[in-house]
Amino acid sequence: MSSAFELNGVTCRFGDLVAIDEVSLSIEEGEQVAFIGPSGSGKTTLIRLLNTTAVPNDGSLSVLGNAIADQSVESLRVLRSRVGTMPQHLGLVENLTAIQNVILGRGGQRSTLRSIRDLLVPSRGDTEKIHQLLERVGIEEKLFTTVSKLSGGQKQRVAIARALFQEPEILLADEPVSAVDPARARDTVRLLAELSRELGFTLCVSLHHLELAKEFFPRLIGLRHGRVVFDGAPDLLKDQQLESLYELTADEMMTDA
Amino acid sequence: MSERVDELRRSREKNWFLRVSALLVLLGILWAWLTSQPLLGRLSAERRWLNFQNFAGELIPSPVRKSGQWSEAGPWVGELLHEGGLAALWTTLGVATAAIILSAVCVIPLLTLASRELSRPNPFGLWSGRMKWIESVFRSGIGAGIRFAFVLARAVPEYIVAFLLISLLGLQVWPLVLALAIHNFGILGRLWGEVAENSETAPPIHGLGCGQSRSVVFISRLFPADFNRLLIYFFYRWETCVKDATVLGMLGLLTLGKLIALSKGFFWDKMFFYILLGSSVILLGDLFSTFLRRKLR
Amino acid sequence: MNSTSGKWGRRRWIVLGIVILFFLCAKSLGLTPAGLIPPDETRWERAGAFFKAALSPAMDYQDENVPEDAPPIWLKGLYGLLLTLKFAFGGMSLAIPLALIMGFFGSSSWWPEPRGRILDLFLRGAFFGFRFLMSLLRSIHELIWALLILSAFGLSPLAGMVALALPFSGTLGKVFSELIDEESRDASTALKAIGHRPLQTFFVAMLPAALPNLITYSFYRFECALRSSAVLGFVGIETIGLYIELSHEEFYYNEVWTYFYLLLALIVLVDFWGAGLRVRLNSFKGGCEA
Ligand SMILES: Nc1ncnc2c1ncn2[C@@H]1O[C@H](COP(=O)(O)OP(=O)(O)OP(=O)(O)O)[C@@H](O)[C@H]1O
Ligand SMILES: [Mg+2]
Repeated sequence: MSSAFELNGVTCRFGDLVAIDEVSLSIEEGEQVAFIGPSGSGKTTLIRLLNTTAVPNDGSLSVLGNAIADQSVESLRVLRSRVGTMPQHLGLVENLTAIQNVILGRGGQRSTLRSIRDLLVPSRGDTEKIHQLLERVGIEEKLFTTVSKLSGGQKQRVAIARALFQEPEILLADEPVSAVDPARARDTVRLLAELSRELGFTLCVSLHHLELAKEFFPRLIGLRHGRVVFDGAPDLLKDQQLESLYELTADEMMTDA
Repeated sequence: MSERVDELRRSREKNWFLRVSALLVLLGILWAWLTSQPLLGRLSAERRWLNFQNFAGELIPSPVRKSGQWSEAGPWVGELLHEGGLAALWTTLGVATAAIILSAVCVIPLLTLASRELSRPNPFGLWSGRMKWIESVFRSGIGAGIRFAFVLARAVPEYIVAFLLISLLGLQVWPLVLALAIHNFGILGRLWGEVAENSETAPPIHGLGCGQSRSVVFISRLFPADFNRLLIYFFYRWETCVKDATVLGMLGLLTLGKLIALSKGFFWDKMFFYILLGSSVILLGDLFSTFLRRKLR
Repeated sequence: MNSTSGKWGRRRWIVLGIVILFFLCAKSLGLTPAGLIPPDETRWERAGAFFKAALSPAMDYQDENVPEDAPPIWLKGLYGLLLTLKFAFGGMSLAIPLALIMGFFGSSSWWPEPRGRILDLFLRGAFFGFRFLMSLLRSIHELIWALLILSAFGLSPLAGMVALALPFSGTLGKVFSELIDEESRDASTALKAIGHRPLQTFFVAMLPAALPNLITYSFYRFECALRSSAVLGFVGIETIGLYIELSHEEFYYNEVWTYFYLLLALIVLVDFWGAGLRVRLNSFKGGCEA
């Protein structure tokens, strides 16, 4: 097995603020990993590093065996088209239909003109494929519905379908369930984990729900102040570690004054 | 499977209004192009090109044309500015400013009555006591009535109204101010109305809940909260007023338009200068208003 | 209570300043209430006749010399409206493609990131160049454009359309680029993260997202184009404005009102049509913003 991500002393700063602090870790292809940690611990930043839209200030990062620092614009773009990302806010075009949004998943592999044509007259084959994907994520009847008319949970499914249509080797999802109720959140996370096993892509998800992370992911990575404080199977995560992971420091505590 | 896709495609939501609109627009465009005489209708292309070259030559300031030296343009420009250019500029700005303020002053008191929320018998859906039937009829109709008045006012082409009013009131500034004010009354009414309708509902609801009347709620809650956005639209309309005031002068008043119309046909160079003068004022007004709007945002 | 509501503060001075400004303008322009009264006997009579005619728009020509077989006045009025519509359609169909091209270069949301020094300079140059071009185009009123173009090329309907299209393309282009740049960049960022090119995200995400706003705004400008093309009648182009001017010259006030009412009705109709579009496209940006 080769590695999906290799991080070696990766540091990422925004001005004076160190968002990711000397992180070294390796994620193998086909793994399911959940990033956990309190708000501001650097989960989103880590995901942005992994999908190459942020670049480390220090250390080396390679994605699917390609060192990020040496990539040209074009090869970086091609690399990105092999890594799927579901951003926290989904990034759907609200006034396009579900099928139009899903078909954009393959835009990185197609030319600009082809993408415009895809929006206007999707090919027969793509339409069938997208219909199957929507069926798989459970909103088959919404194929031609405008996304702005869908519920939060349904939009999430469109975003998942878009990522699946891309046929990525890795799927990164940033807090995919922050906007839905607990039952639906569980359903979505289970779906992602299932799909990852079924289709064989690497899955990295950042999650606020510890329970869900423990239930569906064989490997958890705990972040705090941009550092990895825990890395291992869920049953190794002790209560004490959990407490220190999430405890409020004095300056984070809301005071009456 | 494939049939299912076709079924979904057939049953997707279709909007007939949008489709018919698109069709009408398309037909309109086709009809406009197919039934118009081509640009080069009666005269040949060559002839028109010659015309154009003559015309373009005439645009060069006359002293420069004679001597071939651009240094002569300076005094010529100074003379034109002195002869009426500056006064015309001043009038143009004055007319625009007076007109936009006049329409703003007329719109403000109507906003409470025009607002879809405030004018209703039960503003924001709040129960406001039993009403005599006549009052509830008034309250239900007044909003739509005023909004329709706005529609009518903004449908009025200001140039035509100014033209008609000049023949009644004589050559003076009022017709221009009135014409601009009427048109902008309608536009400000709509834009400001939308601002008031889209603003946060909690403060006015709170105000009404404390027993304030509709107008007090408007003055004390909505107006201050929306003030910046109201001003943004005010400046935007002021900018358009400057542009319109310029051409209204073509009806014979001392704004730039008059100077343009007067020099037309005989002194193309002067006309062109006045056009450029007007356009630079509008560019400046544009910059000023953009700057203010940025600051207010 | 937060600072945006409740308190008047600074706003009082701005309102006061604006009111004072009005009186200053009025003084400098010589605007007095007396000016609102027709200055002499003949004008009094004329004003009376004019406003009385508002209540009885002409159903027949007031002109005695109109030939027997001429179409009835309402038909002539409708024909004038059709011509007015034709100019608006022609002008707008020229203006919109021009505006799309200029608006594209006046927008920054398709710029590649990162980009080289030279490309950056070039893009910024084009950006400011096209922005300036658009300002220049719309800083000259369509009537003056008509005057220039008719003088340069001679009278023809198409010249009128071009005159209408030039300033309108400037306004449309500016607003188009602003509407597109104002759209949320979430979708475009998400697509770039999966390998889309910046230009590609412009066409598949930014432009489609802004489309409803672009359409409703264009429609509002179409309504303005109707008014403008009526006004173009005053420089001799055959639209309903020309009929109004001709009837007015002969003091046929009832005819003037007939044409005026027809024009008003058309514009109100188009206004309602636009409102319908706005609701159906879920667009709230189609206002008169420019
Ligand atoms: N673009 C940016 N510019 C400046 N600072 C940033 C930027 N993005 C993130 N940060 C900072 O980096 C730190 C880590 O942020 P990040 O968004 O990665 O946290 P997170 O774990 O995803 O939090 P949450 O659970 O709230 O989403 C925070 O302190 C944040 O303020
Ligand atoms: Mg985050």
